[in-house]
Amino acid sequence: MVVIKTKTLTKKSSCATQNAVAKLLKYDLKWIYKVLGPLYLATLACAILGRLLDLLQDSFLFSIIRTILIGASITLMINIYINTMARIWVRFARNLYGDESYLTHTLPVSSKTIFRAKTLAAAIAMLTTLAVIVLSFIICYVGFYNGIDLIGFLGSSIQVAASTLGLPTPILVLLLFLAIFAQTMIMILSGYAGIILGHRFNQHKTFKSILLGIVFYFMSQLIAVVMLLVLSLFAPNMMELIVRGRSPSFDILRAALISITGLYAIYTGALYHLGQKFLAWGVDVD
Amino acid sequence: MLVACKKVYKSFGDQEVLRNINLKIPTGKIVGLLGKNGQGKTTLIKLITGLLTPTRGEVKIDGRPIGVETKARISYLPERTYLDRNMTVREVLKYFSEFYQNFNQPRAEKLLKELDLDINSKIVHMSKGMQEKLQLILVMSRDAELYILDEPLGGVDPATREYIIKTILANFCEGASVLISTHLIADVEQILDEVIFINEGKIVLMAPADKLRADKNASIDEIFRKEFKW
Repeated sequence: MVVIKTKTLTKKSSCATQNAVAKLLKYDLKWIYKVLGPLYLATLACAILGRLLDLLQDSFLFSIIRTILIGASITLMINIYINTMARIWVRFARNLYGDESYLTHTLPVSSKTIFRAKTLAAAIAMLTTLAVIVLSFIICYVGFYNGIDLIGFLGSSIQVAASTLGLPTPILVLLLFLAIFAQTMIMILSGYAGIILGHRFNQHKTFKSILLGIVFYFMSQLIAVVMLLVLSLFAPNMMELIVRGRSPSFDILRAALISITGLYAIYTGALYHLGQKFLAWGVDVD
Repeated sequence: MLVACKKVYKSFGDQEVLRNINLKIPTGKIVGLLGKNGQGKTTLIKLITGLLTPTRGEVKIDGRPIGVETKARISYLPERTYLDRNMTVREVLKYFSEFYQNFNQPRAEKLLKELDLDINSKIVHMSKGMQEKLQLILVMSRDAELYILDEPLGGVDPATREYIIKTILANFCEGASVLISTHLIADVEQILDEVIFINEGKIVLMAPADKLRADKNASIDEIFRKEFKW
């Protein structure tokens, strides 16, 4: 009977936590997309308009406008990537240590739940941004653009790389995507950890937050390099790549790609738990 | 005891802001946390609400350490405006009703009407005074067990002070306690059951308001001025 009661309580508490995460997530995403939404539309619109002009009869004026639109779309792609990251960090810092922290930390929600919601919001926003970037890029360059089939070239290059490495193409694409996404999440979570630890100091909080965030990020890169060196101890031609820049066997390259992706995923998880722990130590709001 | 602080210390670097705070607040009382500016009133309140972590000692609400359960029972009005300025009043009400189970939406709407405040207006378009009033409405619309009001009368005109005191008295939940921090003692002394004097990070006096008045044969305001030569 006691066991059943405990299970019911655990289930109820887990439901309440999920509920709170969903509520926090809703407000975080609303805030992030308020600015990013129009930017996504602008990026896609520039890409579509540029391509539409490409389909129309060729003229000098159209060619200039088309170049401007494609250029604007590329600029916006870079902008939304940087903007997403910046907005994620700004939201985190404002909600947890700015004026709004007076509301955030007095909500009947645990610090773990707050951190989980912030991380989920970051992951969702980043996935959307990456999706918009990929889509806009494909729209900009699908088929022949200025006589070059860039998308076709990239596709066939990936196919060649996949067959050389002995991997199915979708697996290689998935591995590359996971590596890029995990790398992005490492940057975001390093920022989170830096903000939390930086605000434990009494002075120069912003400067220390940025500094610690950079330290966390470079630690991840350092660990990746150390991991490669460890791997190379067991694979002599990997050592050749590191020491002399010679190309190792494809087996080694495949193992390195899988190891690095796995390592990034593990480091992302470790940073998430570290951030949760740091926040659970308590806050000192100004 | 609703609030219990035991040997609480708080330091920021080398600076010790609170020293050996031992405090007990019973249920159903209006308690004045009185002291000059910069003596540790806000720091003590932040420790009770979980916005600060004590350097040493423990703070408990109804026997529980500060956490999710205690935060659900405390309704806190800070000194500063903390609402997302891009939200409308309606969105803020929705936010509060989503997160606080004890938020009384009809009471909030009634208070907003009394203030002639448009529910569709954006916070960013409201004056600082109006934002403060909105925050007071949000805080007093919760059926909480402890209301903590940090300098609710600071920087407002006498008419608004009267409105604020009236709103607090008319809306706090029966059986709940209210902790009001202020340096404007004359305005609140008539409603206080207990007073706590805080000076240089230490509690220097804690007593029932009536007993203190009778013992010293003076008003709380006069006692305070005499005690701290203010």
